[in-house]
Amino acid sequence: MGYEPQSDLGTPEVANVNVVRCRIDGRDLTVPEGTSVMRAAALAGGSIPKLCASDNLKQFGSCRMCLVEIDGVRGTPASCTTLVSDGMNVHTQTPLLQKLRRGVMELYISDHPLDCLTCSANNDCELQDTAAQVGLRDVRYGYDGANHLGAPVDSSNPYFDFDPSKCIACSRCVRACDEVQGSFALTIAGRGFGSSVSAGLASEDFLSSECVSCGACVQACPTATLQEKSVKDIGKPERVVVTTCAYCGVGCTFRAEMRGEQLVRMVPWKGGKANRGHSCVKGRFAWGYAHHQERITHPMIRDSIDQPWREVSWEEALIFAASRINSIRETYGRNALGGITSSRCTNEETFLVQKLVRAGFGTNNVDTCARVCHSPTGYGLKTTFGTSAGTQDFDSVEESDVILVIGANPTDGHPVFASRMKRRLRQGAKLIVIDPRRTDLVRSPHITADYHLPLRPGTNVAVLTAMAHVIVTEGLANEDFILARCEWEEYQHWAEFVAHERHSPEHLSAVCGVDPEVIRNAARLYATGGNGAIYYGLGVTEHSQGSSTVMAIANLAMATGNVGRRGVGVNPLRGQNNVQGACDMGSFPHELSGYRHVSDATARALFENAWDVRIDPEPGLRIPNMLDAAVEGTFKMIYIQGEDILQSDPDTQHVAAGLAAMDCVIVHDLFLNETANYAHIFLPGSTFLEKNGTFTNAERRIQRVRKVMEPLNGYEDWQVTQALARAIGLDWDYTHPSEIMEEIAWLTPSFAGVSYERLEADGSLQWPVDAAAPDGTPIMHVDGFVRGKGRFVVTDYVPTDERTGPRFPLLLTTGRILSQYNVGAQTRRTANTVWHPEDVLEIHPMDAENRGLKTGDWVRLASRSGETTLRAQVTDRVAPGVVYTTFHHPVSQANVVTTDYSDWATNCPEYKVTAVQVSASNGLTEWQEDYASRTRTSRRVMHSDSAAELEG
Amino acid sequence: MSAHGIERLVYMANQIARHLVLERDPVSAVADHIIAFWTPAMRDQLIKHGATGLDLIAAKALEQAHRHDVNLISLARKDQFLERCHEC
Repeated sequence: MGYEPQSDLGTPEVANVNVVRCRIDGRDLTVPEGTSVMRAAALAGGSIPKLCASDNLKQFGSCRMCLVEIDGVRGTPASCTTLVSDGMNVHTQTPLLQKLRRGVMELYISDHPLDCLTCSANNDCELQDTAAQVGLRDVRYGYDGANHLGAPVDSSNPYFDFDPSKCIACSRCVRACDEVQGSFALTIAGRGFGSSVSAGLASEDFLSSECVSCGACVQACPTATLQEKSVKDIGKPERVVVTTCAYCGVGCTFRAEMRGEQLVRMVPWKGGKANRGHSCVKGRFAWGYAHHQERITHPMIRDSIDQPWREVSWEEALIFAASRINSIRETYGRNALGGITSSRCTNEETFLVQKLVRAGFGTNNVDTCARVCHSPTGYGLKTTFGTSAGTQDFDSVEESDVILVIGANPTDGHPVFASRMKRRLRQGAKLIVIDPRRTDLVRSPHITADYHLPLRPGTNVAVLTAMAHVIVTEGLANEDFILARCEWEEYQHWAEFVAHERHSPEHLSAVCGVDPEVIRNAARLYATGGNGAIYYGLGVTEHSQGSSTVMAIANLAMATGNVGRRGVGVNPLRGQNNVQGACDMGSFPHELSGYRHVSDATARALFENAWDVRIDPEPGLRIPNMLDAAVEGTFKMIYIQGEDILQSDPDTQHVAAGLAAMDCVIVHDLFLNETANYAHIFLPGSTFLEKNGTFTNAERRIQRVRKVMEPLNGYEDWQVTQALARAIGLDWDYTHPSEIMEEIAWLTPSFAGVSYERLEADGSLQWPVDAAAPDGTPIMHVDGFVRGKGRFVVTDYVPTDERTGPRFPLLLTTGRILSQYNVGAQTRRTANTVWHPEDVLEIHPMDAENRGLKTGDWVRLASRSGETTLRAQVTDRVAPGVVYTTFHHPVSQANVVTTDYSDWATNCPEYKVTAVQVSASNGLTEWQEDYASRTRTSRRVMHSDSAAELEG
Repeated sequence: MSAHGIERLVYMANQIARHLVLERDPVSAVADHIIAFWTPAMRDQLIKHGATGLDLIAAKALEQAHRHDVNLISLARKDQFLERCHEC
């Protein structure tokens, strides 16, 4: 579609079943009670001039442009702050109003630069539009009086400029920061004529302020005061494509605003049901990697990993790959082959990769990066509830009374949802945080956790069991719910277990390190505080008891009746954009799409008939098992799409050994990632901007990904997988991802009603979409659990085998930071590095002092697995005895240190608990230096036009 | 741990057993888990290794999984036999 700004009805929608009737400019209309006159007029097709109003902000009544006349009402009230009442007769355009509005506009314009023709917002400026709307023809005051025209521009933020000379002090930016983002970073400093927008203290610029660069202020600004640098550089967009972000599992939808083939900006789409018009610094701004100079756009091959890469044609690359695949299958058998699907790729792409492995390679050796993040969610929720998914939609949080966040840091990992959660908390919902670190949610502007349980890493189950003990022994369990909805005998068995004295907070406090009274109070609050909702992340799953913790969470929710309605539930915050989808699509080695075990003959027959192949009824290898088998010599070939296992998976040196032992490693990705150091074939991938498909977010919402520009490599990823399939003899002939979705819907009961037509018509759909729920399922388990009766599972606390001791006395836990994403392949190639140029080690002041360390010092971080060096950051965000780092940068390689301990049920790595020692260091370790050297060697490329020169 | 190969399989089996010990029938629970999530080659490797290093529940579960595999193999052979007969 062409470029049109998003519509703005001026004030927020009101949810009210009661209605009122009014007349506006002679038109009769009915609106929900509580609707503003401004919104009602807009709904009736009118447009009252406005500057300080926006429909994602509360009414403010400051700009005096939206005045109206109302029969029987004195004066000219502001339409944004005046609510419609029954029988009201409103006039929005009268000679008096025209005169008043022009007068106000004159004042605005008298202190505004008259540089419209050279202004970056020219023809896309609300001030300009409003001046035209009110018929401004002259400014009687002239332009020579006191003004702000000489105010300097703040260009410190890498993505947008702040030009105070163009500011009209409407406060929309300040209010957006407060109400939408919840950062409270901006303010109006000064008074009267001296009022100006300020990012914190007068000495601070935007970059050094508390601003998190979510872009809400830029979106709210009605002038060019806050504007994207890209608009200044490229110009006004000319067309718009709505698509879905490829960063975290929130699944924000954006308007990709284009000029030709050039992306001008990504603007959060108000129609997006996951983000409701909000964004974070990654989705909003960090898309420059799509055109980064390090993008690989030509296929490359090499016979062995010590050789330089050789650029070749697609045909040669595919023939080379097919030859190796066929040869390995003939020599070692089908089970020597395997593949890894990506949570960054679309549903259609992951479906094709697992189909290639099952139908083409003839094995179930397919796994996905969810193995290292949310595989315990799959196991735990399927066991207790019957299906592997969160129970709520994001809107549900608006009806929560108590929010329990465990092992998640949503302000960094899922910032757009965190903003909505914080809004609910500011409205009065209670908050319990269970986390070893004092995350931002524990204490941030206008948010204070009612209870913070700073447990020792690795003791989630102990804390949850202690909470369950309180709920059961104090008679707080909702037995009516349990009797009606759950297996009563299993409940009794569980209740007897948790009620034992050895599970009391007083007893388990010694294990988890949390004050027993705090545990008791938190449990009482969750059980009795109204709608209780649990949100969790990788701090739950990435433990040796990850699956047990998920089940312990489900137990708590069932015991208190907090399942099956709005405001409650169990909500895994998925890490990557399509973790949910990748799992749904049959990416695990034991499951076909829709979470049906490969041993299920009925399900298997469906696929066998559709694909005309035999599906192995036995599970295949998981990623760590593939690597073990490679080291043992029985696993020889892997196709990895959109995943960098060398950087993201634990025990880097073992991963490297496994990859090095394989005869054929195919990496299909955007960049020469760390895994590609061990690859023989590199197939260039396409970004989310260059492809069609769907992503499924953490609330099971299936949303369209739309191609906004042509792929730099010439092909979308599903086309590359199809070409590889055809090269090994399969007869696939999909012409569009919608055809793949048709096949998914045909083979997957929970997707039965999903099609591109439905997605176009509805915007998005939340699975299951089937005959019972043709419009999707926002809230699951409403009338009953998917498995029938909810199942309580006894989850005994079993300490991890990773223990601290004299050699390794500290516990390392890892996580992510707001500005970077996963292994950083995308965000490291954007200006986001200004906020996080390197991984650092957070260490408590006491531990730092004991080691003579201060912030900025190089430190050696060593575990039983290996050692690395990085810089220290001394902070009391971590408890004594605990250190924390991120894994966004390959140079620090946090996973050199992590061990291969993993979840008992799923082998999800225990990233969150590693016994380490920290000591002063002079710089990089020998391993890091060797690795850097090996990487340089591995990344040599003989370009097709310079091969001869390089060879010479 | 840094154990790989058979050591890792022994560790995994014991770890599963430790976590399912409170199930009503822990041996069956462990056997079912191994059958559901391990490849036949992994199961076979552990069966060939024997009970050395395995906890009691894990060892019994392994026996149960082995019986399951043997039954499957004989069923498969039976199917193949019937298929051949049918072809004849």
